Amino acid sequence: MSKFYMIPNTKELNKFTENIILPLEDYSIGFSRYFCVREIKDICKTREVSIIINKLLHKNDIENIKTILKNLKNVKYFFISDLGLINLIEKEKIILYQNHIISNYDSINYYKELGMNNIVLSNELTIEELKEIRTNTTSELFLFLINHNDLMYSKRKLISSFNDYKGTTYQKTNTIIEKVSKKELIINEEQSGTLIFDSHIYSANEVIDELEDFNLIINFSHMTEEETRTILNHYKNQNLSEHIETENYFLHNKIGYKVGE
Amino acid sequence: MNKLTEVLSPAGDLERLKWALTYGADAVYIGGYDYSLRANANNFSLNEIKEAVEFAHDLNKKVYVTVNIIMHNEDLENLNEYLQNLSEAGIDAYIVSDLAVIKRIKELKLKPEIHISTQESTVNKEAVRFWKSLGVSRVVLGRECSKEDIQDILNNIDIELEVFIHGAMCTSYSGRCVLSNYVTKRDSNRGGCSQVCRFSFNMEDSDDFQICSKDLCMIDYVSELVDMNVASLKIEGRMRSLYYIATVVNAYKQIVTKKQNNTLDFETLEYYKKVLRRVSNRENSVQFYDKDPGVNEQYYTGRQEISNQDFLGIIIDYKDGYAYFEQRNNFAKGDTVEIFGPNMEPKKFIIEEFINKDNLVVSEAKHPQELLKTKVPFEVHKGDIIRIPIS
Repeated sequence: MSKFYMIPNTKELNKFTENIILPLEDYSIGFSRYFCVREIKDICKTREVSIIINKLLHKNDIENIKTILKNLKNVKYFFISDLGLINLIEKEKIILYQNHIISNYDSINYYKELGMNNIVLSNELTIEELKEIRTNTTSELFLFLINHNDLMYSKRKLISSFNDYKGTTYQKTNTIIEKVSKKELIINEEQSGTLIFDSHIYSANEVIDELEDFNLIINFSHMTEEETRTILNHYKNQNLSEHIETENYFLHNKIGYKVGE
Repeated sequence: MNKLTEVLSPAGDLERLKWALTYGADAVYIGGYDYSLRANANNFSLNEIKEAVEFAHDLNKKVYVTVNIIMHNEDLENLNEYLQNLSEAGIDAYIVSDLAVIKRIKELKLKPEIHISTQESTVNKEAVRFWKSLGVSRVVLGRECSKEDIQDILNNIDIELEVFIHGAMCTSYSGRCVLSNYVTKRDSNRGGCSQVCRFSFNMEDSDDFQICSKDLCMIDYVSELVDMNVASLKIEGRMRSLYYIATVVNAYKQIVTKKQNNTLDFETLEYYKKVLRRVSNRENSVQFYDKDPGVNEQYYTGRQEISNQDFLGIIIDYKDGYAYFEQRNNFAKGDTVEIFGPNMEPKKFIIEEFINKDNLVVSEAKHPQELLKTKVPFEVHKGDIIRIPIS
């Protein structure tokens, strides 16, 4: 039976009834809401909390976070993207979230040998790849069930630079359209960089019956109140797409990598 | 300054590799037909890799092979055999990004060193410490590293660092972008990146715009990186031309050598800045080393790529005061040209005349790859390059 985890898009947490993952302020990027250490400590008093640290950490960040981690002893899991944190957090509390990087069972098994048993799989894998990984590893596997898929993480401030260049004042969260494919994307600039997401809500619910042995994450970031409400009502259902428009591009599209494929 | 700093060149095929090494690279990085992040470069067969290694080792230089795709399950099947073949070919190091590759190299007890690819976007000392604990001998740092990031790692971890100094940049942290997968169905982390960041986008009522970065040029900081004891200075561009590779490698090698000999002066640096500006067809900047990039480090409305016609010919032989050469771009009697090579500083002279293969005097070298000879008032060597003077 799948365990569900939710990343909230508001600080009113009562409606997020499953396990919650809170983005750590200043050390995570691309979310609708962030939580400071004090808030996380308070929430830990009443419910189980995991946090996510998905920024790549440069010199000052990696130094400063050592102090912050000392204040987060009650956190259940740390979803981490920067491998530098492996040395700073108890291994059993680590959930490796190297999006786009961990894409095969062999590397997952090696991480297990190194003491890291919990892995978030890349968001661009097909259902066949996911099942093959599941068959070939005993690690705890996590994957995003419903979210706006993140497609790029840059350290650059892409909208600010564009505004500076054009003398404009475009919002730091915006929709952009690639002209040839007409693909619509969300661009989201923050203090430490810019992320680009698919503007459609990704959902793997149509194959949820095949995902029983996975831990399933729902990230509500960049969703409206109505979308949030609908998903909260139907997130366990195979027919979620009957209630809200979703897409599943990566789930069924094997991506080639050489011309002609 | 403890060790000599390596100049590391890309090579998309055997010919480029020979040029890179001849023009001063201490090592080259190349890709095989599989498992390499430039799937559409010509790349190397196993036999070519063996030939590359022999050529490099004869010059006491090194060959690193990229096995740096992010592996999917299907990629694992023939991986052991491939890694073993590379080891038997005598390569000096694998450049890897996927833990599965490290696991296999260790299980098979293969001799080449392991270098962590920039695809892992390693930017801090703790991450480097993690890689070192796996037996990695070198980390290619993320191109987003500042001087402080690099210095902090070097101050705390005894490991070789490789730093990009020249060439194209990703808009994204390397490895963290699948725009190509989503927009064009080509896997960026398995060598198929279609560079969507260079495509055109709309936003609200804006004009079309791009989100791509200008190139990197670290010529002003090479001296500092040598002082910091960075092990390797990396040039990007496995798909670049022979002329580009020879020119860029030669420029950086000259600077590093002069720095190490304490003979680097302002004039030399200024000259090679001009050389690098001329050979690039895109604008460049220092990017992340000295600051966070801003408005001046990006392209917004397309880039003007200038077709470079500086490359005039390649010397094939020199006899009795005549240089025999193969034409590359048009030039004519009366033109001042410059010859440079791996063993000579650039020298200028004026073309008096050309003599073609029928022994006729001609005033122009205008046919692509035509074999001609011309009088040169100083000794030149096979492989030297004739170009428009840099001034």
